Amino acid sequence: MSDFSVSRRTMLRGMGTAMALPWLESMAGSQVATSSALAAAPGGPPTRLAFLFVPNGVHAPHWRPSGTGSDWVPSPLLEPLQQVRQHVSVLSGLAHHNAKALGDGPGDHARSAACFLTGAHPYKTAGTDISVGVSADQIAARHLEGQTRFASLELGCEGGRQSGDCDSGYACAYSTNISWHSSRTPNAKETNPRLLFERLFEVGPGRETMAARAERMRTRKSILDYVRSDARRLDAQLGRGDRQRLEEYFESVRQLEQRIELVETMEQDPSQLTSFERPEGVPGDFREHLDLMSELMVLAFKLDMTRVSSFMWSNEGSNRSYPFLDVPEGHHQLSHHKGDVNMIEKIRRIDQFHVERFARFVERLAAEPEGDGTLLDNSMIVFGSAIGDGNRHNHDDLPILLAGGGGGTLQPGRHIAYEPNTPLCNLYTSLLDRMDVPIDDFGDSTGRLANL
Amino acid sequence: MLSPILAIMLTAAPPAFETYCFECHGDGMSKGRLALDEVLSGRTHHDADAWIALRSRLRHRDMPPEGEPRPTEAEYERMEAWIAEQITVLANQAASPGRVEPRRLNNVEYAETIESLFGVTIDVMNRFPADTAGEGFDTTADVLAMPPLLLEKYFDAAEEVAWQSIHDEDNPGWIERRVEAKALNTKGRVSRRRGIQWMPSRGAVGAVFDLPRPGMYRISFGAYGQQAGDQPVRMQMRIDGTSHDVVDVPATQSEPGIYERTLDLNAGQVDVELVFVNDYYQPQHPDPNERDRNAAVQWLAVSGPTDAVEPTAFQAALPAPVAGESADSHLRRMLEHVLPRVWRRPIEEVDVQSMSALALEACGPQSSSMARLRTCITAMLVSPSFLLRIEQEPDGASATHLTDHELATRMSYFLWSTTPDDQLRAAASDGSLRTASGRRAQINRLLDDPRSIALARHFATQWLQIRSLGERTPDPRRFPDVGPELLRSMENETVALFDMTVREDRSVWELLDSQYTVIDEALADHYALEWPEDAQETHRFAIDASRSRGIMGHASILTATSNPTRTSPVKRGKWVLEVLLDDPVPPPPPDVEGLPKAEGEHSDLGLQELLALHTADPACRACHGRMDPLGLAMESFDAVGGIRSAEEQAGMDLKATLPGGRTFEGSQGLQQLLIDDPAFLRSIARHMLVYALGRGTTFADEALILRLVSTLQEDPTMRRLILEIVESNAFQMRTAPDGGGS
Repeated sequence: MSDFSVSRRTMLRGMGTAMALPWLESMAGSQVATSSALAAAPGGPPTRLAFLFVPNGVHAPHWRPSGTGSDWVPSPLLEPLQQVRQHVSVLSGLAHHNAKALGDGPGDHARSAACFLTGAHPYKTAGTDISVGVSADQIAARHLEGQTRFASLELGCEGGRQSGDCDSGYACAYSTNISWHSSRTPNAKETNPRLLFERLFEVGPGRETMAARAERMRTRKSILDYVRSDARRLDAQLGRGDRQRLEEYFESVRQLEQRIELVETMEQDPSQLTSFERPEGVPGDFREHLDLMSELMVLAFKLDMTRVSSFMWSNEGSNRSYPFLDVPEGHHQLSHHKGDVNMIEKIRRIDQFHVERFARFVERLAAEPEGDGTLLDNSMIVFGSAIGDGNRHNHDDLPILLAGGGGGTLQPGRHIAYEPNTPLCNLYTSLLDRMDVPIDDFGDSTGRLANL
Repeated sequence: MLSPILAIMLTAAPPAFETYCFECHGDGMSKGRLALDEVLSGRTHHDADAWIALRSRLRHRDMPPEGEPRPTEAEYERMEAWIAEQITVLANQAASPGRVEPRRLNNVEYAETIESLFGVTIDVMNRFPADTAGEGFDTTADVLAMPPLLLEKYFDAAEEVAWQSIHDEDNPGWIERRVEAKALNTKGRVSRRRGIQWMPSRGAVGAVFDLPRPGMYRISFGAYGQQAGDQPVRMQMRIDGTSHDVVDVPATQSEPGIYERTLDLNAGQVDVELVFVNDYYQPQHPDPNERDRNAAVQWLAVSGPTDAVEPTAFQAALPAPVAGESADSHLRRMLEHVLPRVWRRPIEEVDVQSMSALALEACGPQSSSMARLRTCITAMLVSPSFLLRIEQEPDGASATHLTDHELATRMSYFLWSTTPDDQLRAAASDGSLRTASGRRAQINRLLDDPRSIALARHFATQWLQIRSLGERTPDPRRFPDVGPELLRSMENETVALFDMTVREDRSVWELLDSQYTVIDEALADHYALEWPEDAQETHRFAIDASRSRGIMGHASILTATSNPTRTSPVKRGKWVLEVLLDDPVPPPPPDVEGLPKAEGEHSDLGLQELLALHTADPACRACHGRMDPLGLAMESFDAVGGIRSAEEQAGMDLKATLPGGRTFEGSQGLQQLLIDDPAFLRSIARHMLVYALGRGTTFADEALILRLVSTLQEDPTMRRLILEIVESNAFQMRTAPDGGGS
């Protein structure tokens, strides 16, 4: 590394500019040297990693494209990818073994969401001792911690579910989260675009000056110091069975402290960095909601506020209706079509809508210039579900799309057919390599995916 | 080793088990991994699952399978009775109070607690990540995680509470209402553009503000002008149509200005307008920048009253400063008042000491006691002592009683979903919660209080699985009258019924058998009931013969168990089993071979014939034979709880037969079937126990559940149930991890 390179932090302090800045060429030298041959070239823009999740699988017979390599012919459901096909690879043959019952009986929806990013088999419980595994996004986030203001961002369009168990004796936490901070702590997701905006740009609900905000953050730091020493005293009095929740609390305190330290380097009002208007709240229309959240993710990536994000478009097993597609029935209800032609037609509309929205997201990333290319060139966007066919609840032959150039490490634009039952976790290890995260294996991975 | 007394109680198993069951489940056979002979002879609570499964199988009469020799009804009854007896003995052996780990306040409890303590409303539903449910309830300790995002939200909320709960020179407690451009009313030629109202000629923008009392208010607005001519843009303030000050607006688009005037205003609805009074247009002016004067308004706000600082109710209850007292001394006295309430326990000197040190460090030596208290409030609200309900660990012993304040806390969150009030705290402090009569007095007081509606709002809606009713989207084309508001009215009907049984201490059976219902006008419309002219917000209707009594006729439940476009007898049947009888059926294995083809392909078939396809296959019959008849009986109601027309009903056969041969007809027949079924008592008792304890039940709780059921059979009142739960060891004690020293 050159002696002249400056760390982001030093530069930000020295130049009195904002922490939330688009990635700039001038900082290229400060990038951490890469150890992996696969990782993006040193000095290039950072690589971003995102996971987009859709529930209830897809109608599999309409999913798989014909032909492989770059000459693939879109299936009906993949038709909307046409305009962005050079940016997207269709990966077929991938499977999540740990989403299967493995002796635990019914509950494929809960298992699939819980397994989607963790690759782990969730412990079956309605609410006692929930446990699955740390998710791939969090492994990346932990590795990158401190380099961006947010180690990761978790987004969603549906909150938690409020009644009943969510699926056949599985606690709702399993179906309503894909990002797991620890094996027993799911990362709550932000579903309100206004709150996400306020969080990204550190603006309170009212109008707060930079000075007032700095003052508030200083007080927060004192309070965090106090709370930590006070909680230690409490911890000393706690029984051995009670420590877990408190440890979780300490971990959250630690993360918050780190955030505040990073925010302190901001000397410019971050809300001035974008002409993006503060959203009003949760739009009633799912399309608007989805687009707004997606747009905020693009913004967070563009301004290098985070490099890792996950986005649950709906909770697993969601019975959302799609009135704008003329589908008043619920998604989950329709996915169990049992061969009914009308229901399959409606499922087609839903699946196709999701793919079309994904294509739109890809286009947005491709429209943001960065370095010599675009933001998309430096991104790796996984779209998919951990249920293959919604009617069958299988966990092999999963619908998985991969968009972006991964900083020149991916060759998108192809249909890549892997051997049946290739672990989806092999994709995750391959992507973590490209994020320069040292990892030997993950979930049920057996290696890396060749030919990405 | 069994005690001799137990051995006597353990009478020999009825021979019917050997006759009918052992062929598959004995003598070396263990179909379905059940070796019944070993379970029956072993008689230990380690086989609890097998015993419970046996009880269920016998209850449903679904073993032995069809085609095999089956016991007579008398034999079945003997087997059931014997199994019940054995379970009672084993359950007593296994009984233990259990333990709950530190429980985070859930979102509902958080909001209620803040409201009780500080009188501040935090919109948790929109601001915090949603809680998920475990064991069917959002009170379950294990799923109430504390991810980093949530702590951040707690910080935001704590700062807001600290700010709002204290009025001083920093926050005089003015109401401050700001209306952005797009929400402003306009008069004349005014056009909305991005972020502004644009006024190219004389015109006005304004808004109506609701002011709490008369006084001086500051009116401010953000504006700029396209300046031209010899005057700046001028805006005149107009209050309720009367002209007031004219304000010069010299600012331009590159740097908009903020302008304000303080005026004496009345209370109530006040119409505030800004009139652009000096339009100017000289199209022939040689300088194109001097031809046109226009105004742009970004926002309009009113704040005040500015002539007095009125303390909040929270503040008024604090100890007042003594003349000459230092800020630190006053702060400490205030902390002694506030901290024990917020942390739900008596405090120690060190608590006050460390907090006052924090305030000094954060606020500086010159700060006022109130400014310091703000920092302390923020700190105490993000502390684990507030956010988590921590209970002391049994010291050595395997299980110990909770402290008085821990018990008060459990009682209060169980019945009110909020923190103990001063009376309950006093009862904890003076030891009166240590006596049964002291506890009973407090429980009755809590239940008499309107705040006990929390039990209906949060326990009943989750137990009955209507908590997420508001997220349902019944097909608007089929059911145009059903929107979010009506769904809310539906939920309220069920809440009102449950609340009445609690408040008026009625029988739990009334939930199934109530002969009247309390609903609002929208729901009455939906039910096609005539709304009396003199009715208030809600009205009590007697239930006529066309509707089912009790919750089985509630639109909330009938809608929650339907798909958006149609009813689902399967879901309704499943609901009856799961919710009312605590006897859930497993969902179908995915992609069952031979599952009836598309229901749509059988559109020529009646629903009952359609569902008959479910039971044609033995693999499906075991569960659908139980579920479908229950749901079919409710088919006289449509997917949003409306009564189907006579024509629609004419084609329906609502007669149903359960496995075992019991027959009934229609929703009322079903209701008759459920009335007096002890399984319903078990269901409400077990579910309420889970809600109250914040954990799932195990076989260690079975003895308590059986006792609750037998108590309810004698005295089926809601209060008796609540009282028995509070009086249980499970509620009052805590077991050490792994059962203590062992």
